[in-house]
Amino acid sequence: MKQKLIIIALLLGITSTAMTAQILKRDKWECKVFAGYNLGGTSPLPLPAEIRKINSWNPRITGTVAFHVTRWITPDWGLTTGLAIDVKGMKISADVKYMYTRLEVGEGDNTGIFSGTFSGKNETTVQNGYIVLPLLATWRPKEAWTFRLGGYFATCQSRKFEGSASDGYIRSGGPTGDRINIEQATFDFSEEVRKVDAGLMASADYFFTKKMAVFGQLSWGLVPIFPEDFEGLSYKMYNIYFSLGLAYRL
Amino acid sequence: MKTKLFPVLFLLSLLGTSCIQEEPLNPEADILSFGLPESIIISEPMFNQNDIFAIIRSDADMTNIAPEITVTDGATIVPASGTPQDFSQPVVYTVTAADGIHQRVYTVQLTSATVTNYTFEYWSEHTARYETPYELNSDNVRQNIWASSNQGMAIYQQFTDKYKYPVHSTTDAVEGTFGAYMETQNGPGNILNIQYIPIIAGSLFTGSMDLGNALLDPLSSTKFGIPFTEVPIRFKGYYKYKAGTGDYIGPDGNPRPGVIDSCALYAVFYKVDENLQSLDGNTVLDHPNIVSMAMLPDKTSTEGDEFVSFDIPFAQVNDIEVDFDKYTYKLAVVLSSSFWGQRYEGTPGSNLTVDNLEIITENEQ
Repeated sequence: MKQKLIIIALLLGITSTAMTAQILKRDKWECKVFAGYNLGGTSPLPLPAEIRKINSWNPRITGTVAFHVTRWITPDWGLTTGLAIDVKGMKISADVKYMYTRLEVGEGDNTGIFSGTFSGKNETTVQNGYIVLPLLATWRPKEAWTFRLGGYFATCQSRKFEGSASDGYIRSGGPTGDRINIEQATFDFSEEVRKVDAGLMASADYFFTKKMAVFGQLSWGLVPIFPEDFEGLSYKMYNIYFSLGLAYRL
Repeated sequence: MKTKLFPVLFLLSLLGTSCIQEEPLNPEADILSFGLPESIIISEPMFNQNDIFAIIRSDADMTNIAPEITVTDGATIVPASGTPQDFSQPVVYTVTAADGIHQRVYTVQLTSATVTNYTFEYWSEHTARYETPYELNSDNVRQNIWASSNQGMAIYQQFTDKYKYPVHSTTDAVEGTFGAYMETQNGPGNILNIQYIPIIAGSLFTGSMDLGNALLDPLSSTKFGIPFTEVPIRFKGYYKYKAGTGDYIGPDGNPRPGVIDSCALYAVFYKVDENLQSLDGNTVLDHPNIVSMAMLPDKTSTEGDEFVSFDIPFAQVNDIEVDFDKYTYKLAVVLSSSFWGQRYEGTPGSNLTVDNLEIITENEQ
């Protein structure tokens, strides 16, 4: 999966250079490349009452690499699209109470379903790699500033959503079922993560030299990362990430 | 400057919606303890899922007992703790959780007459569809004295057909309508990286299943035995056994070539003291509190399809003087389609059928 991403990154690089050669001459077109660090969470909104305490949150080493091309329609307004590789991930540890879960357990013909409400510690690691296609209205009030607002569509290329439940107990079937102590159990929902994502995107660049800018970008997923029929968790989770990094005008 | 606020505002709105909410109302509705007057109890009440069972003295007034009950924080119980009840029949207690939604209905049975006959004529069906036998005592009061490996399996496997569970009733009986059938089945394998369960034996025993440690230390989850107020001298009944024809599977899931499965059919009489409340899978065959034991000598397959009768004397195990005035004693009857089933060893397909088991006591002789 990583190799695939690298190849795509290279392709992006080549196309962008090729395009730059052609289009920079024309004022109506503008191309930029971005590299940034992703901070955020794959999170339910609002946090469900079952989550009692966030013990730690680690954004991990996740980032975004993007290429944007903007067609300026008026001197101030334009339309931007492009392609990005966006790795969205985090590691979160929380205390939970009465949290419903439904896990497939066992192997082969004897696979069963283990469901119930868990109280204890939960640790989850998420790392999903997306190829993102944005479509953004672009506004340039001054030469140094650019703002973009719009949406994105993304396909998930590598999926990871796994973790552990520990130091607690599960009530089999629900809160009135048998109490089963859990010292350390693991779960892996990676295969269940939806292969598409879409949402809102807003970003801004500030050019501190003619070519270089700092940028910030918020991408707010509107599609829950698990499909409707997924019952592993009782709430919907969304990709909500903020990227911070450098942009370069080609 | 305003423009710099743009991402900051977004972040703030994100944080704003991500605050920890108020703690949900407790949805649990457990009876935590069920206290009976010291003057009437012979044994501490035994909890088995939604059944509570205790043996009391025969001279106690069953019609007027006021148990002291504690429940989950915030939950309420009807009838209330401390109100006298007529326990000559089972009493139903309903616990409602603090959330007002979840309820747990318990059946409490107090009895002074322990059964010594196990007819397997009566079976109750759990909400998870598996069956558990119960007996009636001389006053026709239901005695929920049996626990089985079905309870463990139902944690992860929800069959809609009760005959798919490893323990169920069978019309293949010596007398009456039903006998008890146990069969070793393939297990689920890896359970959440906690346990590896290659096989599940059909096991039925008097006592209770404490699923609390079922995943951490499964051997300790089988609490063998119920209080017994007489000295047992013989264990008799009818059984038939067919060891599975496939590979004997070890606890690691690998076949053990040349090993043939065997059944468990035994009864253990032991003393309860400050060191031991219940024998469990670790200790049932070897504990200094074991007074005597009756174990089927030949645990291999029986000939043909007919039931075979057995009559085994209890053999003294430890030199313990039995004194019912000083101590409580328990008797565990243990039946399994694979002798080492509790260690997750056995041959899938091994099956044991039993009927009309009986404990002959000193008083009867």
